[in-house]
Amino acid sequence: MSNPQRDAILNAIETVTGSYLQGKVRAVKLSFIALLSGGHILLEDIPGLGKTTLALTLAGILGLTFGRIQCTSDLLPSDITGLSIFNRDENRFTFIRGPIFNNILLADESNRAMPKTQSAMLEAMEERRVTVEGVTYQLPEPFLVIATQNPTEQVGTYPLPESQMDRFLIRTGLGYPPEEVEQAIIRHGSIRDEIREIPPLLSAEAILATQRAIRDQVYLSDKITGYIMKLILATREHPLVAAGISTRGGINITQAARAHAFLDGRDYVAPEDVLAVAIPVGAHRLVCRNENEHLDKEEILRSVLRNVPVPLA
Amino acid sequence: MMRLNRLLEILVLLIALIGVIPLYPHLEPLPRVILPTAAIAGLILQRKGIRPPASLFTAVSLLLFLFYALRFGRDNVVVPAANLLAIFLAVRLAGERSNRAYLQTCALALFCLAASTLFSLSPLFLVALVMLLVLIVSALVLLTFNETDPLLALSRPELATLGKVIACSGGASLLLMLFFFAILPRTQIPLWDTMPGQGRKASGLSDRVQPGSTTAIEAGRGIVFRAAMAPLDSQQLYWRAVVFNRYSAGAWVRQPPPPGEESIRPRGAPVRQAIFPEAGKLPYLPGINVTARISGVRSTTAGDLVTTSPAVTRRRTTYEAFSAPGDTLALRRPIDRPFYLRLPKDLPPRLAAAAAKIGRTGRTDQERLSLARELFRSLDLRYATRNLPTGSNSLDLFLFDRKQGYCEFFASSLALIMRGAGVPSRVVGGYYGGNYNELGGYYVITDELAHAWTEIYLEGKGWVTVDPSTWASGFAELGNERNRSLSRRLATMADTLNYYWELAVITYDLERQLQLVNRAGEQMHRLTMPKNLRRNGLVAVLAVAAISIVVLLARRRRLSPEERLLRQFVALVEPGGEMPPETGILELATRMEDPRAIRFAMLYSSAVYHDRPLGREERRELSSLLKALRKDRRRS
Repeated sequence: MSNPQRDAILNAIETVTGSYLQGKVRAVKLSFIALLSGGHILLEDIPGLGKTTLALTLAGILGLTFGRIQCTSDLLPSDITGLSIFNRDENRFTFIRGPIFNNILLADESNRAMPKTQSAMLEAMEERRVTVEGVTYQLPEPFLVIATQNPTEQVGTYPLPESQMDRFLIRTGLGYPPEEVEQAIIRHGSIRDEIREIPPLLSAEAILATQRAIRDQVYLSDKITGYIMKLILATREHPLVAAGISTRGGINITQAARAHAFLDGRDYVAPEDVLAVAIPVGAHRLVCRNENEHLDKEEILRSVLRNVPVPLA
Repeated sequence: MMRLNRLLEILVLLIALIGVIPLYPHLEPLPRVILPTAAIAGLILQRKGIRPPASLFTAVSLLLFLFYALRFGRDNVVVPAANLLAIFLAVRLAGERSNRAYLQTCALALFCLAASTLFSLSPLFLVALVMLLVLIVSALVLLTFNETDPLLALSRPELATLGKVIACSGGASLLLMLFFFAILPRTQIPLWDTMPGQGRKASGLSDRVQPGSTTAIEAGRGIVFRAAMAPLDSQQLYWRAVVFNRYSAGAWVRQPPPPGEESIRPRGAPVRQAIFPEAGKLPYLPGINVTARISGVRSTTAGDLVTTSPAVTRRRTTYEAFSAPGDTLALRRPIDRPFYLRLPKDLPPRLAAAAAKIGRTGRTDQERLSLARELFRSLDLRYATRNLPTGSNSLDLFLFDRKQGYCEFFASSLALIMRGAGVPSRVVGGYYGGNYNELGGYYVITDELAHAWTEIYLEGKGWVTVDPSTWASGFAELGNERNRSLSRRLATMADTLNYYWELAVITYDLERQLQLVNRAGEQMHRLTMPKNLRRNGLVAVLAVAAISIVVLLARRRRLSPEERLLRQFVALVEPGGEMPPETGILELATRMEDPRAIRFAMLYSSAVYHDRPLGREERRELSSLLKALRKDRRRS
């Protein structure tokens, strides 16, 4: 399927991974999948691997507005949503929009914020609107939250509860780039300045149109929904798991699979699409039993994938 | 519900019955009476709940043991032992009903059956053994249950399950029995058959031909031998056994043939006979006249082709005779004429006169033989086995007064007349005829078929078989007397059973065992040799292949075209045709790194995951892609 929208997006992905974010193809692609299926992404990795750079680059290349919150323990919900300030000239309160009123919001180190603040942000993410002082404000479209979380830091953090993790379409790590790529990156130094001058390759309208196209044009067979259903059921019946993938999780897997199929140039979802997105979309939604807390959720989901037969005919 | 100990009681009684039946006819009167009495008494005591003291039974057993022990002797082992076994069994049947007693009863029944073989080993034994084996196995299984819980009762389905277990173990033990029968080491002489010829009357064939000794002959229907062979014309069924070459004191007897006499054995001997003689008293090995050679037993053959073997009088044995049916026995050199012309002084006068007349009239021996035949015909002799002339003058009476007699009269008279006329002659003893058993493919030769005929020496030819009995009126009907009634046919069938029993069991000794091993080995070697075998094997293999193909096709028929294509595609990558986990067809195609494979996967999945069946064009393209891929695979 040749599609100008798809070609534009693939071109953008290629540009990003080729020029700015070498060795981050997977994360970039997943970010685009999240963007195209209208979800949000949680990057979980140690600092200094390019989480912020990824967010900035995406914002730049998409020609979208970008906001950033550095989460700390004293961050208040109003610091995110914005607040009303009395305007003397006009003799009334004027609403000053917070950083959430951007197409792309980077919530850095989100687990350092207080639960109150976290939930305010996550609600906005889900609802795509903000209600402040009785007035509801619609958030811009497209809207993508890129939250980062440092898994190793424990002191003074409020790890996102499972219920809120469920609101992220995708959770992924970045991982270290390949050695020779990393060496080149080190030699080159920081690219923050370059990022500022990235020419936008896509517009907000183009992305919205693509989102619509994915919803309408990518065919989803009953075989695939049956397959996803089986996967979800298998996670719920898994002995190590207390709570498996939720219905929202199933919807998200389907959305992500559709986007993946679109990026792959197909107008139908194949099991490969499900397999490709299942772990980033599904793993963080699993709630392990207390005694199995330490287990790697991705590994558990992988074992489920291995045991559910792929629909082939 | 069925009480287990009730079932066990019936079973053990049945075992005792089967064990004793084959032995029963050979028992003495005392145990014959005691056995049923004890069984019934045991049943009654059991019903009434009376338990006689065990010491009573012990005392009775001891007493009877002493009684029989005193009768043991070197020549008398079998009978007291068998009777003692039967009495022990009777005591057990009358006594208490415990598991131990049941076990002992089973063992005694088995011993009784074994003891019966010391008297006779008939196919009945096999039937009893098989039944006993199955019943004892069942009894043992039930005993294990009874031991655990004497009041156990089983429902019908439980009994059915138990029955299956018993049937399996019983069947297995039968197979094992067969196996061990074939391989267990044998003695050269069958141990069990220690009393050959026991209870058998002297056969129709004797070691002398003496007409005139009785007024009637009563030959039984006892079997002399069986001969497995293709059926022959009844005119050729002369089983030549012995030659009587000397007449003295009114009887023909056998003397060693004169030294230097040597018969020419026929070259081709197309008629092969496998002969199973019943052990008899005479050492002669009969065979269809003219027998070229005899093999399979150690034997000596005299110059007049009479074969003897001491083995046949000692034990059951088998041998093979190869014959060329005919009536002339050629010789290497002229015979000792005086030996075969020797006559006693006191020949019956009328016979001697007739002989002298033939001697004078006939110019050659051939002519003299014809004259003798004419004489016999003119006398109008009748063949009969009753109302026979007796006494020293019996032959004279036979020929000229009574004019009736049986084969010995005819043969003796002719031989004497020929000798009197100067033609060398001798009397041959053997059997004539035989009942062919179509079922088993063998002749049965009974005592009543014993026959005597003559051999006349004709210059230039040799010993010519002449049967003067055939010149009599009434001889031809003799064979037809044996009608084909139902009882006769039944007897034939029973005899077939006996024949195979002897063939398979009684005569199965070390020699046969070795033969079996040898034959098995040879056949293993030759397994690939015969052409038709190979062809048949090919046919069988083809048939199996065809059936498998049909089955495979039938199984494939059930697959949709999509599934079939998929299976073939997967088989290209994965040797087992099994899809690896966590892999879709696109992924699989990517792994193959072949644009055609990817094209296949795209085409295929686009149809399948759009929920639409493959079009004809698509299917064709997929098939051709598969073909190309497969070709590449084979090349690499």
